[in-house]
Amino acid sequence: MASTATAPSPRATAPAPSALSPRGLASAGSRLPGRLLAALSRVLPIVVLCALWELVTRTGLVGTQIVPPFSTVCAAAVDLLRSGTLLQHLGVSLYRALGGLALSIVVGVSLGISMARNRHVENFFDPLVSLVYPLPKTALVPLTMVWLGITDRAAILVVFLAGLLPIVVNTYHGVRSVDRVLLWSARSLGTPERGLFRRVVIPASMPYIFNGVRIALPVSFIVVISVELVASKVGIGNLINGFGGLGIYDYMFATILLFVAVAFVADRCAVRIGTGVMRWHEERDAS
Amino acid sequence: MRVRRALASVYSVMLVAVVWEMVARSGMVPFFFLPPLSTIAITFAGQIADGTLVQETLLTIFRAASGLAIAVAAGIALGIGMARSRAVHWFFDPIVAVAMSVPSLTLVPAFILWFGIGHESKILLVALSCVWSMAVSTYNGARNVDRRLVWSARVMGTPEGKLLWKVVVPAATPYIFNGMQVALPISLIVAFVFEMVAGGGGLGFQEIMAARFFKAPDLFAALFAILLVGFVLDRILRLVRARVLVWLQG
Repeated sequence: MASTATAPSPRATAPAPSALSPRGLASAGSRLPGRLLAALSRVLPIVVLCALWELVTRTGLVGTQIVPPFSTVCAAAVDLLRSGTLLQHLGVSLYRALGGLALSIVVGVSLGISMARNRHVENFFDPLVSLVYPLPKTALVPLTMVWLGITDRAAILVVFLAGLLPIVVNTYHGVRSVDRVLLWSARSLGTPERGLFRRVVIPASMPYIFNGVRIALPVSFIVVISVELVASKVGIGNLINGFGGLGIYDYMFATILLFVAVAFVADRCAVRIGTGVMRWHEERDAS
Repeated sequence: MRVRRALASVYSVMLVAVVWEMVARSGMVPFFFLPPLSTIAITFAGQIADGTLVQETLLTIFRAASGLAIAVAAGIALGIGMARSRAVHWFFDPIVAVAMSVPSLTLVPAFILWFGIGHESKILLVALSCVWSMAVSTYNGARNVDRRLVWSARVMGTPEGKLLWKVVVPAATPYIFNGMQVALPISLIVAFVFEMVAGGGGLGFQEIMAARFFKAPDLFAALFAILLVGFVLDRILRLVRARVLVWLQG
């Protein structure tokens, strides 16, 4: 759902993609200059925004105490990268986010599959899942703080819990909605019951599972940041809060910008991997 | 039969509750890790009765709902603008794409600097966090409006200015509600965490204070209140959606 802003769906009901969208230009002329122009056209608004930021602060329209100029922030970012401070904290944050996410993928996919395949498991977990689902998971931060202290484990636990439910629910729906025709054909072609699962059910529910992971990824970043803002001595959230508390705002904004870049790249990577893995699915969708 | 089915559907919840109570009573875990469920229930009821929990809950809901309202208004305007105007789309599409993936809570210290620690900073950060998903869903809704609807309206003489309010916006409402369903939990998360970091009352503040002073029953009471808020608001949104979108069934 998040990618919809960048890639208009090619469905027949949608109007033709605008010439300004990358797809439109790429199909108009797939030569290199065309593509380069498209990329430039996409980046330009962000450049304009940064220029505006610089202009507004340099002319004194907004005090540099409130918003440091863009160039100052960039210099701070370079310094942070060079000194290694940022990488150290980023490493901690990513370890917590991705560690928790990996745990929730393993547990969530297994639980989702068991719930879809086994009635008793479903009856047991379904009420629990629907009970806990509406809880904004960052509310668990103080609780894990009490349980595990100000540690990596506490952060990983919250990330795990926050990512778990979207993955469970999506996996469950994926396995449930496997096209019966696929199962019948596989059976009639002689696939044994066990192979059926590995070779039909899992691949067919992959898009759903992946959708769950796609939802859980930004959630894991949000949760890590909130843990680090509230209860941590290291990590990006802590770094941002520390700079803010000391009034070193250029470094604070530099850290925010760099982390935003990391989150953006992570999201793009997830989308890339997803479309790579699910190429066959997209083709079926388009036909 | 019906009773049996109802029991079967909640037995796991009851089992968890009983095990929780037993483990907590047995002294296997320290009290401040896991107080008995009954103790939490008494604390919860007491805080409801003396009004503290109700007051904090209303404060948090006020912040989340105000921010969400701003985000809905701005997001619908932006989404419609992007769907109708190429220039607006060109300018905002890359910005929305980047902003969608930003963990907005990184901006908490910046918002404290800009807007202080009162209501404004919390409401505005909630709005900023929710506006993008509202814009994207409105955009998708406005783009996917059935062209025949637009044609028929034109044929029957609807002026271009009214087309937007009479056809495009109503046809995009299901998408707009989807956006709100995504934005609602985000608004609560941002409000809670902001309260934890910056204080100023509210359920998040209540909870973090309880954790700092190891008042476990208070912590769980706040946690249950948060769960309840999330659940009730989600239900309300579903009800409103069903009410507004009655025509969708037909």
